Amino acid sequence: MTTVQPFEATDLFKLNNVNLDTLTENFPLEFYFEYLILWPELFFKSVEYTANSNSNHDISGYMMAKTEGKGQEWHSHITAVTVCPEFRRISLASMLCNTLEAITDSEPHNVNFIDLFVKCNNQLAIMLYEKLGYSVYRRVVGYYNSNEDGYPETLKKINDGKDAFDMRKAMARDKGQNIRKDGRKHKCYPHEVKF
Amino acid sequence: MVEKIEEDIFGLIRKSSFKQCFEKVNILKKNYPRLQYPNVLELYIKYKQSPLKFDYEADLGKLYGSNGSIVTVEHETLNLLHRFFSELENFEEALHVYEKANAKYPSFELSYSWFEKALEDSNYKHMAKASLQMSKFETAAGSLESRDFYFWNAISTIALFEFRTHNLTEQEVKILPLLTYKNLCNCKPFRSTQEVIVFSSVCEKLFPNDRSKSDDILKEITPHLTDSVDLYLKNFMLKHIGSNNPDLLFSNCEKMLNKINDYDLLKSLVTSGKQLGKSKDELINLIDSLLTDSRNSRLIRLEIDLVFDLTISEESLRHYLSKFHNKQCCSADLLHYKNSIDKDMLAGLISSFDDSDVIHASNIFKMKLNELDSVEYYNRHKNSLLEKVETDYSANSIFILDIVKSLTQKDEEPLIFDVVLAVSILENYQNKDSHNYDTNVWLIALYMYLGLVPLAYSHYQDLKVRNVQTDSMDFLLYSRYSSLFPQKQHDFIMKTLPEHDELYKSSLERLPQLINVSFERKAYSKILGMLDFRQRLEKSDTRWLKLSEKAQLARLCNDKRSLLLENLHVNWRTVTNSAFKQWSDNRDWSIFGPDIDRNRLPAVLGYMNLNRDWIELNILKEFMIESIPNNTESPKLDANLKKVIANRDLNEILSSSFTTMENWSFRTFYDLYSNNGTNLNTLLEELDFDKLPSGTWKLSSDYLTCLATLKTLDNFKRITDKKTKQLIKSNIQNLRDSCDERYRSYQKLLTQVCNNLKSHDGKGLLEKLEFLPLEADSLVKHVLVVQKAIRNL
Repeated sequence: MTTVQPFEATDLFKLNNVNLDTLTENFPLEFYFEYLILWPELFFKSVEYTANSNSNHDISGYMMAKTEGKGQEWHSHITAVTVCPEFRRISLASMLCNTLEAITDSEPHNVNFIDLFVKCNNQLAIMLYEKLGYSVYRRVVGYYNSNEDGYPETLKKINDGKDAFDMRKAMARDKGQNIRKDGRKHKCYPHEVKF
Repeated sequence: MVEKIEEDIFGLIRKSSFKQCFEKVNILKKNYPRLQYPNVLELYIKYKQSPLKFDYEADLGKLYGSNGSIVTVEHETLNLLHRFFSELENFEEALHVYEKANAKYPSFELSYSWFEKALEDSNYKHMAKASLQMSKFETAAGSLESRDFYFWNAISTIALFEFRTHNLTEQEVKILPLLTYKNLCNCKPFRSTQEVIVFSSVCEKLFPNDRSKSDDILKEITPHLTDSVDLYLKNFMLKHIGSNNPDLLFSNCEKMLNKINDYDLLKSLVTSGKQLGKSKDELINLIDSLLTDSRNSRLIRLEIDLVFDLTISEESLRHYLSKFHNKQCCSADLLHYKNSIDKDMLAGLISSFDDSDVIHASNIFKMKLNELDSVEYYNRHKNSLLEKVETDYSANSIFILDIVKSLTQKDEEPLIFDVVLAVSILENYQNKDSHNYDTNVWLIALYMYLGLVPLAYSHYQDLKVRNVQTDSMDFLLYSRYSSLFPQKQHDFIMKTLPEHDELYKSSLERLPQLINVSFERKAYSKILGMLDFRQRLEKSDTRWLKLSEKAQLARLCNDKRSLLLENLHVNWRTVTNSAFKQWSDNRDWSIFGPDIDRNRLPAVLGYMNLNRDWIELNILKEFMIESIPNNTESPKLDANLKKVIANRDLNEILSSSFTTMENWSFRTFYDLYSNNGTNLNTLLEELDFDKLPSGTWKLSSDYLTCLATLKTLDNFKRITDKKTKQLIKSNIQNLRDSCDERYRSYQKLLTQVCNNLKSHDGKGLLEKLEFLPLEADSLVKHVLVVQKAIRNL
């Protein structure tokens, strides 16, 4: 039984069951605050009323998102969506994505589309997003490159473990302008995805 | 120029070069005869030179205090006065200088500085006053208009009522809510959801149980519910519609459920629907039409059963179980309803589903419907560990932790054999489920119990704890660290500890600035949470236990302590100033599972059992140690001790919160501080090294606490009695001489235990689980690492 609630700064003390996950990023405090300050409506959590009343672990997941871009490119971007192991495989991530869509597809945001980046080899996540109506808009070559990898010099050299798919879901007002049927064929550099 | 000289002077103050300070101030006075700054600086130097001789009222109060004769608007001077008064712990005066300046020479810039300083001090009353002052100026800063500051004022006032009610007079309690409400009403129409949220919060928090204010909230939020989705507004709507308006509640919930899937909305839809005379079937059909088939939509049928029939039906339970019996949420969901579910019915239903899945089995086990024990369940499902994705967590950990806890989770001290057996089980399991943190945290805790900090550290690294997470997790590794593994060259202290301290050093310091930006960017809904967060981080148990450990480590290693103590005083002052809540225990005890009660920790977690008394008294112990050499009275320290002891019996506090050796150490310093060391010889003679623990974390803890105490005593020039000095020195010598033998014995004990694992009781269990016993070499090697760190001290 999940309710969606605004994320508060004090929730940062209670995220261990979510953030100890090996694949979940623990951001610096300032990064979380940046999202709380700039996009207060787009940082929210899923809360379980099922947990032990003494438990510090009633947050089952959270969504961090922002709005950016201009004109036709005005959109919301999913920065992080994550769910703790105990509440996985029950479509909670989808629920968080749907909530974001409901919030940003209405006043005052009225975005044209929602986008996110996912590693090209993360088949499971790609399938989840496709099920939610997202599709690949372009491939960002070297998006996940480390310092050692350096900045990509060419778009010809692709690597599923280092490249990201920029996946998008268009809202009705976008009229399909940010959807590509052949998105996987379109490649770009990381600097081109900055808004 | 002023800044340069100021910087020089503060450097000279730190070096206690007061003569040069006065020379520099005279230059300033000569160059800037009309500025107040050199005069205040001169007073400040006088104070720093001899704080005890400084006559506050005559030297400072009558000039710049609340009723002082001088009012200044110089930015640097106000800043210095704020610092000066704060150091004197006259926090109200520190901000009053800004208030006075604003009263006499009002300007936007001055009131803005006042607000900034009040925010720095977490003084919500002054923040409220300053923001009200700012609203008087038509031309504000940047994109801000004068009306915006009424919202700043409202948030500050709510914070004042939420966090600091003791700071309010009766008149303020009556007037401030009315004034805040009126000011916000004058700002209507509101221009954003954030403004509506502030208004609604004022109505809700400053006028609790006032029905007319609930109506005000509904009037403001209702138009937004149609064209936008906001989670704060959802909460206001659910809370303030009230049971006498089921029509509105029902229609609003229906409207919102069209957009988001939320259990609170579903519950209110059901209760209001029943009030409106709708049937169960009508509600089920409506919900199914509003939501896709989901966990919430299936669980709400249990709730509907309860609302209509006061009991949960087999049909609803089957409907839920058919989809979720093999999902991890199942046991959590159903345990929530356990008092309304017939246990036999649940057992019968769940057993009708495919039981080959490990998650299905773990749910049965967690709901205590199991027919097998944890070893049997593990053996039945262990092959699933071979098939899982590496980064997934296996539900097999439920069974493993049950075995581990049955071996170690006791009120009395567990047998070392059982702990090593549990570590063997966990090490074997962790190899198969490497990212599982539920098991890893227990492995860390058990290594810490055994006093094998380097091994615990290595596993802690796997958790990749960083940033704000350190505040809630580091207690696993850094509780009592100075007396468990004071190896300064090890990454444990040299790398990870300072990295984690950055949270308190840099991030905590930046918080006022970030909160200020939140006001400017109008992220109003988040500010109360941020203010709360800051206070909780400032008063975090983890932060303070680390600070006290750092001070003890410096004594143990004969490091210079002056800067460290200066920082400790500054931090302590900040905490004294922010009289908000009591200390904040942000440590995440839930990480050990739902059966761990922080107030009744099992003995195996004893090393981290540090309560408020322990933390506060250890900080005050460091202040006592600082005062002892000068034999000076410290009224502030006395007051702090009195406050912590709070009319209780000190000996009882020490016995219940400290180990025997920590208790002895505290009493020794307390006797020197408050009783001129009258009982020092008796206390020293009390020491009986034969009674030191022979193993576990207690061996290192007692040894090092004793050594740190004796070394500190040895450095006190104030102790002149030859017999006492000799007693201290001989105790140090005897203790050091016994170090190697103590750890050698412990190594032998662990070797013996590991051998027993291969031949006795443990073998059976390990063989059943197909696990290998732990090799003694690894344990012994790490005891040696600890021993080497300790014997060099």
